[in-house]
Amino acid sequence: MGNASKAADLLQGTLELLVLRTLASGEKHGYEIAEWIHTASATALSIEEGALYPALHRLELRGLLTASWDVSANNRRAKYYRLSPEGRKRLKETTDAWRRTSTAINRVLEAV
Amino acid sequence: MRAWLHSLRLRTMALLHRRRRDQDLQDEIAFHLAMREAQLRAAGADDAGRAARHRFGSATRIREELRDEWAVLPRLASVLHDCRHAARALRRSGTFAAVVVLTLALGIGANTAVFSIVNAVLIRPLGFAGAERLLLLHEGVPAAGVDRVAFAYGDLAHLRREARTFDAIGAFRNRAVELSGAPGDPERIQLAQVSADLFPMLGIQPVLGRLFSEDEDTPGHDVALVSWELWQRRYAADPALVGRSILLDRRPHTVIGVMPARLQFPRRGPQFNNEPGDAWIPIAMRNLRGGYAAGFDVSVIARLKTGASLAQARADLDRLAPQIQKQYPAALRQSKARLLLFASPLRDEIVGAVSTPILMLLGAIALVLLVACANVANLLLSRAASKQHEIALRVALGANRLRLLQLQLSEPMLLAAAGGVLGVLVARLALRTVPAAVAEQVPGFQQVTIDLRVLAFATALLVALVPLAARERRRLSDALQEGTARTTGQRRHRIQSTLVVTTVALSFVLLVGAGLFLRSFSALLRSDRGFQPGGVLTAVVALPWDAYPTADRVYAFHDSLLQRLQALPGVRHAALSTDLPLEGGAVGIYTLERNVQGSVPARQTSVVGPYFDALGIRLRHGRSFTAEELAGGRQVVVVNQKLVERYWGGQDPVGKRLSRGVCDNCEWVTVVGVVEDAADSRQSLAVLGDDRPAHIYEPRCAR
Repeated sequence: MGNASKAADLLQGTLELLVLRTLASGEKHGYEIAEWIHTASATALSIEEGALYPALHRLELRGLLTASWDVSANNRRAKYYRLSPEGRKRLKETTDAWRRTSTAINRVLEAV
Repeated sequence: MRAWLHSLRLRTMALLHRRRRDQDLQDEIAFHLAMREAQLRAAGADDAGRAARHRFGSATRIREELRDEWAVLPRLASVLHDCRHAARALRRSGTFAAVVVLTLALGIGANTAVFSIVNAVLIRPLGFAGAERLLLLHEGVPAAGVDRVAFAYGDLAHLRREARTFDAIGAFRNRAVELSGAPGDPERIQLAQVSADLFPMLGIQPVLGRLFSEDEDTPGHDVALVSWELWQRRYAADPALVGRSILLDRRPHTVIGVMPARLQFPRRGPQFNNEPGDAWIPIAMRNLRGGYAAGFDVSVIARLKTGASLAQARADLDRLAPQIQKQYPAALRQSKARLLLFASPLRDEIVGAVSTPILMLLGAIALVLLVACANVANLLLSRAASKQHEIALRVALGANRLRLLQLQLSEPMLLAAAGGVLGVLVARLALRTVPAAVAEQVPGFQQVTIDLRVLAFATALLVALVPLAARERRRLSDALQEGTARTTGQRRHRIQSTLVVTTVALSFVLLVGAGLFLRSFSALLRSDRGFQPGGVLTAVVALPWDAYPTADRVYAFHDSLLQRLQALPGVRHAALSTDLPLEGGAVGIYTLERNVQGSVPARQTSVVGPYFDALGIRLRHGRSFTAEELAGGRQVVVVNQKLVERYWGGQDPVGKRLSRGVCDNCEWVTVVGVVEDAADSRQSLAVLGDDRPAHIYEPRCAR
């Protein structure tokens, strides 16, 4: 259980970072978010699309996102998510942390 | 914290609009699938719907996950599920469940019963206003051998006038009277005579009508208050009773009020005047000068002034005692034996005598609960061992820690709940089996109700043990996984043996305690009380004053009563007396002829008929009363062994003389016989410092 759960935590943390980053450019519904992540990562990150929704709802419950129902471009009812001030703050913190970590890892990798 | 509140608000809103939320989850997923399907179809996929669903993953699982995310009490449903599972498992092992539930029921039941008694008797307030400032006052002449007596009404006037530390003083005394008049048969009830200021001081108001006025607390005002219970029982709760007349000792009294339900006054517990009244009338005694003449039979409750302390009150009483003694008849006034006034908190007087036994019972029962807990914990541990396999399997299948703990707790919780429910029944049963004779002696016992807070406490104590067993099981499962079952097994054995040792130790304490009690009890049964209670029936006769105004009329009644009793088949001896052994009664001051001690206190009993034969009190010396002496009045007396030993140095007393009271011109009566000491009451113990006091038996007063 130990190793698996750590991997899951990492994945989850990453997913949340991606979701926050995706919404930085404005409000989106779930499908748009999935598409955006898919495109932006040049299809390298392939997640089971359903797994996105528990993450979205968790972020909403934690107050990092706010959500409201609206009518989509093709005239269907869709739930739109946007960053709350806390979400924006969290995105910045997590991005910075991520950058520091990856810089550090890169340095180590290049040093070898 | 803010985030938590935010999430709680969202969850609660979601709960309030549950159907809407479920629909939203459904819609959100459906929208995604529709979008994906459209996109795939545009890209030319064959079965776009299927492909979309494939990319999405299991919609059902996601929906459930989302539902879990949003649930306010996500665990509740699963808890119910686990309880059902546990119930099924317990039904399969019926013996285990029955043993645990019964053990718990006994432990919880016994504790609930005893805690309920403790709560009713020791914790619950007395129900009097400012009860912590109420004192019960007594008089006493310890130097003359009279430790403690009730108050003389005449002394009360002085106290009321001169005391500085009390802001209210009330008096009362008990007596049994005949209640007659429509409706119903005549009956004997307890009457309390109370001063007009007593109920206002205690903060007790009638539910119907009014209290006595000061003016009514003087002779010649025949008014009465009745208890709620008497009003319900005899008068069918007729509100028109107020203003009507009832007969107390055949004398009409106007009912002016009905007192509140469950009022117990006087309260049981104090040594004097301790029978709760069914009706109350004004005490209405003339302000006799020389309290001694009126007899020491009134109980006094005084309320401390705000800010005054018990010590100040005692100092105040010490100051007043000599002043009161100065008003006594010459012989008493000049006596070297000082009159003293005593004050003690009313609460102590009411619960004092019973608090020690009740607390001892509480301690013993608490041990029983601990033993029950230890036993149950042990059984749970054993069961845990037998469930190793199931737990290991569940762990292997990926059950998470919390879920596993919950599953493990559900069984003990069910057992505790069942034990608790059964425990209430046990408690009710236990309280109902308390003998009436015991219940009557415990002040406030009538108010015992099963206290659910108490039940909750007892249950909580038991449930507190559950995690011990559950924790142990969890370790067991983890350990099994890691292949170190042996050490865990040893650990379990260590806990179990600790429990067994604890159980045995506690049981041993209980056993020794019970053994000691049994020994005292059997000693009590074997002890010679100085009389033979076997085959003796007793009854109390109180004659209404108005119907029997003269001694002759009373004696005529007594004689005919005795004659008719003796004529009954199966009656060997019939006698009348002013009191019975173990019951207490009058204490008189006597002067013994040619005795350096002068006047001495002794219990005094007047008898008619073969009293000593009827009670099996053995004659040690001399003879009993003759028929002429019994009929002719107080010429001779019989004394008990104690009096002979204490005051006549064990010399043969037959032929010696004594006289009632403190006298210069004594009316001597002659001692004709000596009887064994018969056990007397707690009251005698208090008054005379001896439960077998010096005792003088006289034929009933001269005509």
